[in-house]
Amino acid sequence: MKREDEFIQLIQENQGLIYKITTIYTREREEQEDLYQEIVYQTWKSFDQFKKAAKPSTWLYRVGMNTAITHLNRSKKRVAAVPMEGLELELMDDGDSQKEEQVRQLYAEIRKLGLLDRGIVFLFLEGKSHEEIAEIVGISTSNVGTRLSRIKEKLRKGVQTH
Amino acid sequence: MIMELEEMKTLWGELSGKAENQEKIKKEELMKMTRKKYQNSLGTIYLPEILGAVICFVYAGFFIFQIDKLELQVNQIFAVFNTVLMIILPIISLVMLYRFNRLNISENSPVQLLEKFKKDKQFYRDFQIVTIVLSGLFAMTILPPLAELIGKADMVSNPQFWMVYVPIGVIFIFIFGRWTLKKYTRALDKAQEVIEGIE
Repeated sequence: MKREDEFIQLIQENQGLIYKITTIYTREREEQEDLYQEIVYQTWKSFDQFKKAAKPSTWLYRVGMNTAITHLNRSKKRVAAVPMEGLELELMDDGDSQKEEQVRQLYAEIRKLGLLDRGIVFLFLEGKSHEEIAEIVGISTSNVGTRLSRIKEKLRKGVQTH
Repeated sequence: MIMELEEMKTLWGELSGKAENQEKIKKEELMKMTRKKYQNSLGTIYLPEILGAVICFVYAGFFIFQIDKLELQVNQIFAVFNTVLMIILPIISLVMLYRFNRLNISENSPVQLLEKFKKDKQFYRDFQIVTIVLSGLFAMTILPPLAELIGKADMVSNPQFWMVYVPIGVIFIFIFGRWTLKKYTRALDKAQEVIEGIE
C-alpha cells in the first residue's frame, strides 16, 4: 500500500480519537478545527516513525496529546485553519437537551484541569490502564494513580485549576 | 453540580461511539487540507522572521560598505557594533524558531515536551532581556554613524539632542523590559505548575 493510502487509512480509522483530543484541549470552534488539522498534519510529518513504532495503538495518542500541548504552548503566531468541507465537528445534534447539558458539563470539568492532567483524564476515560497512561504520558505508574486521585479530588471540589 | 470521574467515563463511552460513527473524511479533502496546512505553517511562522532577517542583513551589508567612509573613529566602532548585532540577533532568532518547530512529537513523551518548553521559555526570557539591553545600545549607537553618513554630524554633536533622546530611550526600554519580564515570568510559573508533582 502507498504511504499516502496508509496515512489516510490511519486518520480515517482514528478520526474520532483526534476529534476527542481537540474537544478537551480547545474551547472555540475555529481553534478546534485548527488543532484537528495540526494533529493530522503532524501525523503526516512523522508518519514514517509510526511504521517503526513498537506500539502503534499508543502512538497516535502521544502524537495527538503532544501536538495539542505544543499548539497551546506556542507563541501567539497562530496558523489559520483551512476551511474543512469534509468533516463536521459536531456531536451534540440528537436534540436531547439533558444529554447536551451533561456533555457540556463534562467538557467544562475537564478543561478546568492543567494540560497534563487533561491528557491523563482523557486517557483514563478512553479506558487505558495505568500502565498504558504511564507509557504514553511519560510518568511512572504510581504517579498516574496519585495524579488521578488528585484529579478526582479536584473535580469533586470543583476547584478551578489551570 | 460536579460530575464524578466514573460518571464521566460512562458519558465519554457514549460520545466515543458517536465520534467513531461520524462520516469518514474523504481522501482528497484530507490531503488537500494537509498540504494547505504545510503551506500556511511555512508562510505564517517562517516568512515574517525570514523577512525581518533579510532586512537586518541588508542593513548590515549597507554598513559594511560604508564603514570606510566614516572618518570619526568612534563612529567606525559604533558601525561595527551595529553590523555585528544585525547579523547575530536574527540568526539566533531563526535558530530558535527552527529548534521550536523541529520538536519530535512522536518520540518524546508529553512530560518531556513540557519540560523542554519550560527550559526553552527560561532561555527565551534570558535572551529577551539581553535583546532589550542590546536594542537600547543599538538605538543609541546607530544614530552617530548614520548622521555622519548623511552629512548631519552636527545634529548628534548637539548635547540638547541627546538630553531628549537618551531619557526617552531609557524610559521605553524600562517599560518594555518590565513588560517582557512579567510576561515570561508568568509563562514560566504556569509551565512549572503544569509539571509539578511529576516523579
